[in-house]
Amino acid sequence: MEIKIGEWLSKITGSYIVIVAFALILGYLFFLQYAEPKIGTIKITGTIDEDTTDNVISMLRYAKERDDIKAVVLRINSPGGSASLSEEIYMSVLSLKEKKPVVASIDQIGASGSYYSAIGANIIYAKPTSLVGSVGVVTTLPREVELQEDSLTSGPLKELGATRRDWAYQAMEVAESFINSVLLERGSKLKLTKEELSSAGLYIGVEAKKNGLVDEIGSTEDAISVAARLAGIRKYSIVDINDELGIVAPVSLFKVNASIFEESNTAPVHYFIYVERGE
Amino acid sequence: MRRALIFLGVLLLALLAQLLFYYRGTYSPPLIERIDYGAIGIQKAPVVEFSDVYTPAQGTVVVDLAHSNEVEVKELRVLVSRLSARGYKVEYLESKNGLEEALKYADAYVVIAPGDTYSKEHIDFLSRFVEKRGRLLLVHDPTRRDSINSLSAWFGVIFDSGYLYNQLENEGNYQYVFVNDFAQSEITKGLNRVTMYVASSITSTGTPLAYTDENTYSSTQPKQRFATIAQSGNVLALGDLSFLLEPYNAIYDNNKLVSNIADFLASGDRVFHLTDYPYYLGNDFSVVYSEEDLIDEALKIKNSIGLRSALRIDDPGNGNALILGLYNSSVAAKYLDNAGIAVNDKLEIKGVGKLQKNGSLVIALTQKDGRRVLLIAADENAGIESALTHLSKLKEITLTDFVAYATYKSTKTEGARPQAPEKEEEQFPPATQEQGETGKANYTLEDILVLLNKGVQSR
Repeated sequence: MEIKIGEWLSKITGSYIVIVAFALILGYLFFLQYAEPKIGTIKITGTIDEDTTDNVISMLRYAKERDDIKAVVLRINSPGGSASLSEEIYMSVLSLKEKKPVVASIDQIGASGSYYSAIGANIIYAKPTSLVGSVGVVTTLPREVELQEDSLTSGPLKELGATRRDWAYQAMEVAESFINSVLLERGSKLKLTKEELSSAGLYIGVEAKKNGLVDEIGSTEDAISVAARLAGIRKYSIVDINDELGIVAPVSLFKVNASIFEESNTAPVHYFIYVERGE
Repeated sequence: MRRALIFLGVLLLALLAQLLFYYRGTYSPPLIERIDYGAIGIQKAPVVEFSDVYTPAQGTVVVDLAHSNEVEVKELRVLVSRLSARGYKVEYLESKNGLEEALKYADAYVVIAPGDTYSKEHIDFLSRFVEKRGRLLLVHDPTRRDSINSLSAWFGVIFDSGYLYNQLENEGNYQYVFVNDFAQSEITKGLNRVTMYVASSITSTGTPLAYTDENTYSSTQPKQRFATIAQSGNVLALGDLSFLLEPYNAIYDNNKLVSNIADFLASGDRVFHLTDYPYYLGNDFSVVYSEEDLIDEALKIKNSIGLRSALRIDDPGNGNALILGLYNSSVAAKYLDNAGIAVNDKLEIKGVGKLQKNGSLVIALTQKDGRRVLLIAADENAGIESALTHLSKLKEITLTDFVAYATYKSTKTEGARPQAPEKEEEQFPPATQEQGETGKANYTLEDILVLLNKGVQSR
């Protein structure tokens, strides 16, 4: 019996048809498993805080490291958030863009810090009525420190960080950095002057297309198609990286109430955020 | 071996076919650039050393805190210290009921961001105060929600809505604007550039004193030259509070502007009316009883005032004084004459007419050569004895800004009914320094008749 099986195998492997068929199947399976191109989607929603940033950064890293993810679409629906965290995401997007194309697709709102993330992408899409822009800083000035007999600091700025006046200047420098980044990334596509940009206006998508804050008006599907084109792929599947990593995107906040500042740190913080200055 | 080569060849072909099926090219990343973070920086406006120069004087500035003003006393340290250096006392009005009384003695009144709307009564008090050359400072700040226009509009000043901004040149923020264009005035003396920190523009019937530059815009107004300081006589309006406060007072010429404002508040030429009793007498005056019989009344009046004073029988001739005397006494005659009152068989009061002398009492304020004398004269001692009662309700018996007239139960003319003026002068005489800017009596013939009738009814 063993001899018969051996002979049969010898016959099969000796058949050219079988060899060719086997090679084709193996090649197909290999491609399916390792080489079928994918477009990854990453959601940037809600206020950009520590949690959001950690999640977005880990998703960007994941997309960068996975070879079959050939391009990434950032699905943005955020009013922005912390200035330095927004910068962190922007820089990570730039890093990813060095390896893979990144397309930003703005849903309801891509304002301030989240727009900062978007400018790192190769192309920015928005819906006709998306809200885009708000390139600027919101900050609170340091509060007066009550002197106490039973606690000391080693320097006059230890508690405040800076004088109120210096802090105001710092805020303008933070804004300057943001504005210059937008000018650099958007280049000649931007039709707004630096003064107009620094007004921190918020524009609907169709206006943002005209003034060069975004490249195209279109859906997320359109953004995915363009991401695929940039990556040089014809056929692809889509990977929701949030799902893949089990990261639940926070519910988007259309606007953030100014109470965010009250709840934040004892020291003031600069924000790239579109914020409602309510009571 | 041959079979193995065939296997590999087909496998590669399969992979290539799929590669061609899925891919059409490769990604060419763009050149990644970063901005030059080292070049980020904004030049700060300089902190300017300042030395205050002033002329010592005396007076009182009252700061309104009674209208839910959005300001704290500690914030006003710079302005208060400048006023103190000039010899001025700063008081804070904390009760609305105290406004009328405070304006009797205040030389200047400061209103900063009042949260409450000013009532018509309080506006009237302040209007009369300004008419008497009291200095009024109105300060609005867009960051402090206030109702200052409810008051300022009565003085021809409207603080515009919104705020001013300049994105090209500013003091660290687009809302911190420079003011470079000044009209010549005492307020703008020595100023080249001041900075305002979230300021409003001012529309005024008075004189705009300081304008922003052509790159400054309003968040609500069409483009124009925006005035941030305006003056209308004794009323000064400022569209920002912050430049008066630390640390912003130290930037550019802000300190100089604060001092100019302190000079404005401390250099008024306040005129007092009779109803400002007793504050025009100051804190060191003489109470002159002129006749021994009147010493008890003089003492009562002296004690009722609560200010530092000395009792005398003779008029010292200098310093402020409250003088009691009968119409026919020489001391009374002198000051009655100064007050424009002639005593014959009737009392002839300039600008009013002739009034009954018998059973009458006159209270007159004269201001000459910097000396203020309050004369209380009557045709007999009983009249002087009623003075204390009348002093407590001066408003009800004033005929002009400087003269009050009342009747009392005379021992000589018991039951006599005071008569109306025999003749009303057709033309009031021109205003004199002593009579103030209004110049004419506040009462018509009908008013006087009503007052006289009231006097009869009250007996």
